[in-house]
Amino acid sequence: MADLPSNKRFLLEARGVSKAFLGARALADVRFGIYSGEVVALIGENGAGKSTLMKILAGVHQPDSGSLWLDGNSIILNGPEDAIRHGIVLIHQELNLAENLTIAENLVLGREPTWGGILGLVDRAATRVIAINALNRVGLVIDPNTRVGDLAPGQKQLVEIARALSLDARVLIMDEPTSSLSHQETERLTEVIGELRAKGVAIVYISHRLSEVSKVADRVISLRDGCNSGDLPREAITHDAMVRLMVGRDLTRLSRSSAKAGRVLLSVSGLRHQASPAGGISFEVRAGEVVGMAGLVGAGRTELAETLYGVRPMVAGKVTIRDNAFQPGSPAKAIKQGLLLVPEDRRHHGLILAESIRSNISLPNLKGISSAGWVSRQRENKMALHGIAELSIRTTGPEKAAGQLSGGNQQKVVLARWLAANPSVLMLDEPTRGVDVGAKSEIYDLIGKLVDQGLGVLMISSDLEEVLRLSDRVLVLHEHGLAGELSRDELSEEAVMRLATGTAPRRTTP
Amino acid sequence: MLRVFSFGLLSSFAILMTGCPAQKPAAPTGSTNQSGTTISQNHLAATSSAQNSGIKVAFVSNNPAEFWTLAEAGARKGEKETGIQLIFKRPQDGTAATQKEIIEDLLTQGVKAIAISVIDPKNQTSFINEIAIRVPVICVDNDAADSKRRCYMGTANLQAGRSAGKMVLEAMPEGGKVAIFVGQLDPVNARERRQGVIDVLEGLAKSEGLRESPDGKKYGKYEVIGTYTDGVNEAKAKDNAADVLTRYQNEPNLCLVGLWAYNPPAILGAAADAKRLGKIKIVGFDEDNATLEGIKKGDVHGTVVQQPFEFGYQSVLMMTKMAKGADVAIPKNGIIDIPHREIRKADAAAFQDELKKLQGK
Amino acid sequence: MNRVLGVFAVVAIIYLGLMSSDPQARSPENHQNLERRIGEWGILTLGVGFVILTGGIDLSIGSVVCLSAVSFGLILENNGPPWLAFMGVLAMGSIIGLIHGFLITRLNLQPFIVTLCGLFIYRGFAQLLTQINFGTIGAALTTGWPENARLLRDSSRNIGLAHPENLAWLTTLQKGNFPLGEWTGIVWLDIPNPLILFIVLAIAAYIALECGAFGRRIHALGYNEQAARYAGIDTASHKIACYVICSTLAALGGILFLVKVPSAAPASAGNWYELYAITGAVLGGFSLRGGEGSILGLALGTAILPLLRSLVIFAGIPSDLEFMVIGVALLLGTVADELLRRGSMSGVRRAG
Repeated sequence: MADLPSNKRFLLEARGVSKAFLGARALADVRFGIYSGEVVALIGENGAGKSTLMKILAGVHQPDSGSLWLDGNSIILNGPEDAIRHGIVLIHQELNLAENLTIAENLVLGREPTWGGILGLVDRAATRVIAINALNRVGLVIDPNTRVGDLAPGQKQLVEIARALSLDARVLIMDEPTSSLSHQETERLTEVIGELRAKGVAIVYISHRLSEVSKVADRVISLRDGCNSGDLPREAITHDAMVRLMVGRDLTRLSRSSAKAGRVLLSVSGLRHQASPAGGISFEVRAGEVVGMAGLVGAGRTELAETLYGVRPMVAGKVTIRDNAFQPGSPAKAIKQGLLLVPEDRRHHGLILAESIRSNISLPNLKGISSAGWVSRQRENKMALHGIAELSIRTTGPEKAAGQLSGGNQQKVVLARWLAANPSVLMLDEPTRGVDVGAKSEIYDLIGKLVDQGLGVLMISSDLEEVLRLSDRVLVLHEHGLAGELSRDELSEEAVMRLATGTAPRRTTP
Repeated sequence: MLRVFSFGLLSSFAILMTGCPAQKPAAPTGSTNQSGTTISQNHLAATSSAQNSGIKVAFVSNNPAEFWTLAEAGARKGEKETGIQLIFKRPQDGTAATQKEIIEDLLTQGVKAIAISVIDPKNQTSFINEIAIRVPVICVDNDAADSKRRCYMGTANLQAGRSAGKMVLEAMPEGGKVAIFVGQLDPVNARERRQGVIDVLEGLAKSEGLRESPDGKKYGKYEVIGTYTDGVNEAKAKDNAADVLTRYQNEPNLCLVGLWAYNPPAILGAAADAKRLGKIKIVGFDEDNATLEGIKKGDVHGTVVQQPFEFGYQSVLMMTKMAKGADVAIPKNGIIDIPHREIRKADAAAFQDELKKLQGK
Repeated sequence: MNRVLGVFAVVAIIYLGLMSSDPQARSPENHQNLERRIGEWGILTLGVGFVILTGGIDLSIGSVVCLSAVSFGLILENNGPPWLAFMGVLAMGSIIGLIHGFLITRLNLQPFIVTLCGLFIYRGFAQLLTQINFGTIGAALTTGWPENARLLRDSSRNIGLAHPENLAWLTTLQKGNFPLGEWTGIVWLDIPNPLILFIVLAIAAYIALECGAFGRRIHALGYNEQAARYAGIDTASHKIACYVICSTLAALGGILFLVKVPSAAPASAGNWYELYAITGAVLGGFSLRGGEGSILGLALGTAILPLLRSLVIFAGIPSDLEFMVIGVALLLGTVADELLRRGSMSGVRRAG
């Protein structure tokens, strides 16, 4: 336990909180405290109890035992409305904004200023004033009549924070606030958090991105298996220290010896899709290498992968796979050539959440395990069990619905599916987004193993740490064009960001 | 919708006083010739083609059923003879709403008189009154009796029902159970026909309009076991008949009465499937070919038919006069009865021939 | 499985109600009538089940039934050979399904709109067909345009079943029984052929959907079309196949309709059938959002409507109340089913 100024009183405190769902323990005797004007990061692997604790603090769940204290007074929160009345506001990871309404309308939703008495007409002028004030507090300069659906993810996050502040929030609980933000947006959010802290708002910050945590947090509280696993004061916050608390052991850092790249597996020249600039993009992926693909959100990385995969139309370009000309057209064609995509949006594009792990793994591989259109259940089970074992997917069995798995295990199901499909080039789009630390390192290990077996991997990631750690080469995209390529020797965070933001002179690919 | 009624020529009723013609010297009343066709050629004298060209009149049916094909044939005959321009419309979905829109459009087109087969008399009355202020309106086949329409032209359904009731008595003199089948019970014609049947079963010498006469009650020697509606769906009509045949499979005296044109064929089909042809009695309405064939074979006791061809023809002649503002003689009760006719085994073959002639086959 | 249990309970309750309503309701005749109707409805319901599995809908079924009945009758009326009429009408159904599927997958139109347009078009086309003077066309082709001849009659007309004597096999299919009862001497085992046909088709559908790769892909794309596409499934052609199956079965239903009635009024034949078929599938556990549904449930769901209609007659419920009885029973069934499901299911269903 870190030393805390004992003369100060916690603004919000949880003492000895326990909670079980249907008999399964989620939290056991957990304590948590936050001072006003403090940023506390709550870390832990998926399933460690972070979200349960967060929901108890926000009044969504009620603790089985233990107590909550606000300003030294015991409080009971019977629902989120109670919490909001006390100034405790939760900002969900998936933002709760009405996309079809304007910023101003969202900001006053449910408490619209009205005039005309019983008619209840919305007072537009007053709404606008409220909205502009709220936006000023988060430093967002934008017309409040903009539709929320038209905003960038970072701007939506700020609108959500503005809404929380306009509810007179004293404690702001932010769940994975940066998961869909670009680098710049994250920076902006960090600034806003700093300003709020200065104004005395207490912020509970929940994130998987440890590099961010070390930047913003005054204190770290770690949970493991529903229990407190340690705190870190500001000066003790380091990546390794946090991982140790969360995982309970040191993770071996991946230090891949720069693999000797083999033959060219995928060669792309002049590839253009509808948003591409003239000239298009050219690059190669060789056997046994991980080619990282970095860039800001919106730089066109996903679009590039999807064009190769045949999900969006290719306008121009030449693609060869293992020296055979390939015309992207549909995922089915790409899969036949062993060019596979692990999509960014796992829930919408990667998996059929309602179906079993077995069905999800076998889905693209049905041909191989069926005769005359009749699926052999035996061979299918074998395929699924093999995938579960190989990727150590944590499940009670192959029949469990994919939607019931944690993010990391879901991602492993998608990977297991492609490992059964005889891959040649694997395109990974944000492979560790929403994946907890333990599963992350397992996925890294797997990527290493695959390239050692002679696969080529093209890895898109917004997590620079990940890109730097795993890639043999890095392609950096900027506004749908190739801003440059960095070899392992040239790799550094600064070099990538220079290219990604378009501040470096454009280099031609070798 | 598919309330197909039939066609018929003159029955034993005299029509001299009820015909629609004007009482002007130039246009003597319609009369009946030997073959039983209502003759109205006389009107030609008063209404030469040249005089009438350019004047528009309209006929709006209540649904797209085949029944109206014969009515349209009659109406076209009238159009040719008078030289007037006739617009014949059938609301495709058989709803009052669609019919209203059609009529509004026709008024916009400047029709000078309009004939309507009313779908919902009670609720359409005010609408009909609105039209009646602008152009003469006559109701054909289905009446809106309380409206300001000039007259109603069609079958007296209560009387037609009585004819059917008479056939039930003939077919099953010892009494028994009677089941009635119809598409819907809201239209007045359905209720009047049913009433007519029941009045005769009960032994009433005269029918006095609609009165309380529930299902499941004995009327004289006859029990009306039910009135089964099918929502104007032939397949459902057949299923209804099959269910009744199953439910009363041991009933020795059972008579099935179909009030709308497709009902008797549906009953016939169900009886054939259940192998009960000849063991049950069937009485019907209208002139569906299957019904007539059934009569010829003796499976159907008889059918009551009306004269849609005359509906069309007479209404166009009348509208032509009205459109020109000429006097039109209308009986005091406002009803111009186009009589129905009873077809039994002896009449069926000849009737089929007449029908073919009218259809121009 | 719980869904199936829910429908089963509803079917069982209605059935028991029907059986206790009247002694004749318990007769073999009544059971045969019911079985025949379940078979007839089942064929249509099965078809729409495929479409609903993909997350689509087909509102044109009733109109396809009408168009098929009218076309079949017209071909026979003009002395076309019955087998040709039969195959031709089925082919027409397939083409209609193909058009639906093509518009939905290639032009990305909504199934609701496409098939709603179909609902109007096919009925209108059926009405037009009955107006055409085929005799005139025939004469025109051989001897030139006959004088005073008109291509179209003034109005549409009802189409009957001409030359039924050439249709023994079809009549048997519609009206006959599978003579298991005759062989065994147990009259209860005489199963009407439409039900046999439905059972055969349902077994084929079960195999395709539950055991085959085709069914896996249909389920997957019904749950999450994008994910299925990313998994390399040719979602377009699988969807098209489902629309073809649906419309082809509707065409078969149309032929059986004409053989049954045996007359088709182009303005009204098959009205509402699409809604009855959809209702049967939904009651049987098919989710209108796609991806979910079992054939066994569908078969049970199909049985509800004929049972209810029969109940109305046998229990002596006034005809006017029929719609209300059906509506209330369906609503109660759906609510009971939903409550059952809530009690037994938790966890994630689908994304977004």
